[in-house]
Amino acid sequence: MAGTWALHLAAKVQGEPETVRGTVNADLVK
Amino acid sequence: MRLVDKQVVFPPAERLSRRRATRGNFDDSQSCYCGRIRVRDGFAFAATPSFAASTDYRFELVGKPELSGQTDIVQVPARQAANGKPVPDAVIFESKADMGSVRHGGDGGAGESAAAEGMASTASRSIRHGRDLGIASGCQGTG
Repeated sequence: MAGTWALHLAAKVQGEPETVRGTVNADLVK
Repeated sequence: MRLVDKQVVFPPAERLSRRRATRGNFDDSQSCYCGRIRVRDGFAFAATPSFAASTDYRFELVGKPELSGQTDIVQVPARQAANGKPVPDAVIFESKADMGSVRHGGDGGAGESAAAEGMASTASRSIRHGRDLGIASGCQGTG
């Protein structure tokens, strides 16, 4: 579905004990 | 290293008994008390590593989403929030896309969700997003 989607991401960064989490809004055309 | 320096070495039993014999006023309870305090210091030192909060890093949308068949591919490199430098060794292991939590934009579809998957990329991290990947829940990305 086209529109603005929230991408919820979780990543591991080397040397960091905690998981890094974040959200990016993207306008997707599909 | 510092923790080792801070640790208390209790006097050997024979020295302790010699002290008791010579001085007669060695306060054993005081020694134990000091030891406990120092151990607490050690715990405090060990329990306060530099935690990286999620606010220390951010994901940034780079470029326009690339449409490939039924799939959108977006680049979302992780960056250090303080200076904006990219974090090349970040591995996205969970990703989920939904429209329900977006306050602005969108064309309805509240609660719409879809899976997204990470793709390996040398320059940045890419997220592939499409209906054909299934509904809801994050799936494993690659590093």
